[in-house]
Amino acid sequence: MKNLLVVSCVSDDVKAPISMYLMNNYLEDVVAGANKQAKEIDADIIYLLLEGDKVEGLDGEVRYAKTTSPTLNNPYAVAQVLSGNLPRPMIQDDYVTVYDDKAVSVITPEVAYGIKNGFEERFVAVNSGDKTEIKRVAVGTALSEVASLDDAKAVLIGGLKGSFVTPEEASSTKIDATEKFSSISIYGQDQCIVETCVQLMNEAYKASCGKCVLCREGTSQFRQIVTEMTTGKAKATDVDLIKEVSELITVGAYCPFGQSMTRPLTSAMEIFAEEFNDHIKKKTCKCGKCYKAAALYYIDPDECIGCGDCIDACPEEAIEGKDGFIHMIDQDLCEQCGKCVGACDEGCIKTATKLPKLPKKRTKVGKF
Amino acid sequence: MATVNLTIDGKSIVADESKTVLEAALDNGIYIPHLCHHNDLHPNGGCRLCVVKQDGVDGVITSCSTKVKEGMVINTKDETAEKVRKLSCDLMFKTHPSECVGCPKYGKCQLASISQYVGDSGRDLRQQKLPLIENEENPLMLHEMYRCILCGRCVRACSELRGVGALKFEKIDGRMKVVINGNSLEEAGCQFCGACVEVCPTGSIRDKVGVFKDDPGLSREMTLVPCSEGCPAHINVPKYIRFIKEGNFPAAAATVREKAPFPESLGYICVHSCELQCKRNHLDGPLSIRNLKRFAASQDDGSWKEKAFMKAATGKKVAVIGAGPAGLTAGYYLKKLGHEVTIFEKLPKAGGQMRYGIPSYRLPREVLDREIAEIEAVGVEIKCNSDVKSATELKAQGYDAVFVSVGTHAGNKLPLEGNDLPGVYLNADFLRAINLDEPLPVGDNVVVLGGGNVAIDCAESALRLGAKHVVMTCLEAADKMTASEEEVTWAKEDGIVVENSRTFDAIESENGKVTGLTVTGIEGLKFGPKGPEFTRIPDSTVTFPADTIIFAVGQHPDIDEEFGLELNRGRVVTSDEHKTSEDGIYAAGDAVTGTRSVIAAIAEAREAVSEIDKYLGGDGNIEESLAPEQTLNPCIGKNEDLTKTHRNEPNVTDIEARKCNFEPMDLGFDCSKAGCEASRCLQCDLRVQISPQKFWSDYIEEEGGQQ
Repeated sequence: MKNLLVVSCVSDDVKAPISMYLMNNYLEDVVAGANKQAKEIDADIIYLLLEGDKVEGLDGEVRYAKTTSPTLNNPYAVAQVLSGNLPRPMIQDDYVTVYDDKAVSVITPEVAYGIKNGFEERFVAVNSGDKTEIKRVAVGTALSEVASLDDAKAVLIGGLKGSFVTPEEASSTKIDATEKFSSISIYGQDQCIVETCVQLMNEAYKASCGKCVLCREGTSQFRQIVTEMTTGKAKATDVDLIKEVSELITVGAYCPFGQSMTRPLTSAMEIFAEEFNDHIKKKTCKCGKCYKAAALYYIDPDECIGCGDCIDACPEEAIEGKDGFIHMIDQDLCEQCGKCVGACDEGCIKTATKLPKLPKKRTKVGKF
Repeated sequence: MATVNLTIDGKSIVADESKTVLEAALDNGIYIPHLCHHNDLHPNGGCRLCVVKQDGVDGVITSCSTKVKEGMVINTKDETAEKVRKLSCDLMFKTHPSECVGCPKYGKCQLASISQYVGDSGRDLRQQKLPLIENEENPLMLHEMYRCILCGRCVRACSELRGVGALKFEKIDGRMKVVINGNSLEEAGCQFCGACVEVCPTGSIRDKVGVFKDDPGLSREMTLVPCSEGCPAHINVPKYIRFIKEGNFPAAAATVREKAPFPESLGYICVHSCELQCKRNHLDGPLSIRNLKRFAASQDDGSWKEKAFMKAATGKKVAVIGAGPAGLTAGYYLKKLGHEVTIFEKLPKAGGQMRYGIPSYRLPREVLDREIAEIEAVGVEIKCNSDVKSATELKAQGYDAVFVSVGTHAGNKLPLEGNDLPGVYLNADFLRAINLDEPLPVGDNVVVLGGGNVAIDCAESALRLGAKHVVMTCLEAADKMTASEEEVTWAKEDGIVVENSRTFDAIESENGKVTGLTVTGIEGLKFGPKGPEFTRIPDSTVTFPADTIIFAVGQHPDIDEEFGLELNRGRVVTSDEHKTSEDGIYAAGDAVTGTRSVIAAIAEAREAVSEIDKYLGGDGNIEESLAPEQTLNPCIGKNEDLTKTHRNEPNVTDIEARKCNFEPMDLGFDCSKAGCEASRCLQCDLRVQISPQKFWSDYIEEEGGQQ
């Protein structure tokens, strides 16, 4: 059977956009490396780019994926994308993926670059605030030489699959050739770590290919639970729940992404246990990021006239009540969208980080 | 094939090296929960239920996608593996409705069965119910994807197994979903094979109610292949249609002949219950199965004969009374079983209603003659002009068994004033006379009473005998007539007036001559235990002028007590085994059931033959494989024409050319129409090949069986 070598530029972690950087800046090296590899295994080459991406000067067959995915370094997932489907990996003994009657193998531009130039140097994406800078670094370089740790609160090494470490630990870390050092993210003192985890779990949910239950539903659960930690809905038991479920996902998920995607959250919870605790139990955010934006809505029982307008406006059906009775917001269902505020002519829907005394059962207007 | 030795849960197992750990375990009665795995699909590994512990390997392994290896030691009940399974189950139920009782799949759901086995850990995970969206646009399948747990079996079945790809995964608002690969299933290239339904473990993708019979007494094959089930003889319809599609017409004819000895005659006149059941009724109209049969049978080259069984003579003698479809079928198989057969026929020629009831413009006599000749060719003796007055007396003449198939050759007469006047005929007499070449005279104005196919035969025959104005009138409304739609259409084209929803009041006469039929309009027709019930519409009484009136309101056997058998309302009484009141005398066909159809008579005769053979000491087996083996290709591929090709109608003789003679008028299909029509088949039989879903209790029973 003929072989097909796919140079996949769509498997990057969101925190390590290295592939396209190499395609745009070191195209000759990538192409040379890919050609060398293709010659070795007697393969045709396809470059797989993200739809809309362009590489100046790239000569050769180019195909496009609709999305990036951490699974797109897996031959089966790549073949699915080439066939117009969503990526899903296949991890199986001796399994050969066939596409277009060719046996598929996959390399990333970074590997192709390494095949050409050796692996003594590597590329590292350094994220800080909104900025991402990609650096070529010699293996063995101290992390502190690559990224500034001044004023850092936490360092995430390895993107969505990585772990948080303290700046102290980061400063004594040397960059090696492993995958995790493709991404170093620095979080400053002003960053809320819980809110950061919300963003990371949202990204993980987006990145999950959906094939495996543990990753698909795990990312979905984690992003909801962590979000609830920033809105006051989370429970004290959620910390242990996440730890226990994470351990099982790490063992039981199908692919490397699924097995690792819980790490940013669990490592953050370990290092910043107190900050998580403040969010969940005291419902406070020292960085002022969380509760300010997502205060709890309540209906002032002294002002509500029981008209029902807010009930109609609520897309979550989170407001209970009937004509002439004080309406009540079910905090478990409320998504803090604020639509009820606009619907209320009386202006009696208010926000607070700590709820005042409110009726617990149906109460007639004026009787509270 | 090489084998390897491994240990699963302490049990030493020898397994073929090509097997996975899951397969090896299941084969040996060790159940490992699994959901996204399906026997006919490539291993997937997504559900995480089949994880097990392998000695010397960190974490857990996926047993559905790990091959067995020499010396492997597997523990399926490992604590971590069980915890992972429970978590997976927990997570699936966070999006799946928790209430099972309201689900149509309740009791047949693999997910529910697995969760029972795996158990619930009671974790405080969040409910993330999916919106209750149903998609009922599809004529055959129902999508209720809020029950979907994304095992992906439907998507894989549609692409891997069928090569169609009408279903796909898509992320909608971030959440993975199984969706139709287009705006509608037709647009997505759906071939309506039902593989997605067959593999769905939950109630997410289901057959619409009414597409298949929900009868637990039916086998899986009969349930899933409605045309074969609908055929009284259970002819393998998809098989012969596939032969036609491949251009192998003799093989198609042989397939029909496996279950019925009159393939071509059936091709002309069968009531085609198969078409009424055809799944394509729910799409754009059924396959024209009868015309396909007719075309194939016309191309029969007799190659089936070398495969037909013929048993050694048993020395037993069987008499058959009546050479209609039931009698000829019985004679044919009894002779093949080695019994000596004599058929006694009252009329001058064999064929029964096929010759003396059904007019020759519907069934050309040379076709019938040819097929009867095949029956005689195996050595069946047919004695015509032999009226048997008593079955018991005949048996006493030295027959080991007698088969009664006298049919229903006497017409029913309604108790109407004037019903015995000259010019008033009975259906059976009228049609028989034509086929005896002694037609009864008809006047200019003919009124036929009745709304079935026989009534149409009478009306059309009257027209062909020279009647100028023919009216058919019946109790039933236009959409409730028992005559086939096609026949009614042709009758109307020929100028026959159909007067529906009328009750017959009286036959009018003057000076002993029929002058008309008075009828009154009715509504609310129901058939209760005492016959029809309806309300007469006031002021709706009219008289249709007539000089000939034909009763076509049913027929009954032309026998009485003298025949020696117990009768009920004129019909022969039989047991489920087709035994009559007399030992060694069996009966089937219209004489037992009342007027039904040729194919029903054939099917019942075949059953009766088995019983008679057993009575005579045989094994009762009359099954034979006359057609070549057929390899079914499960990969249908995306045939975009499938839904766009609509039912082919047969070539029909022009109205003016057909209504004045008894020449065949329905010319059936030519080769290209037959091929085109055959290509419309949805191949329901492919679904039967998919491994049925199993539950853990099935495996545990197997385990019990092995111990």
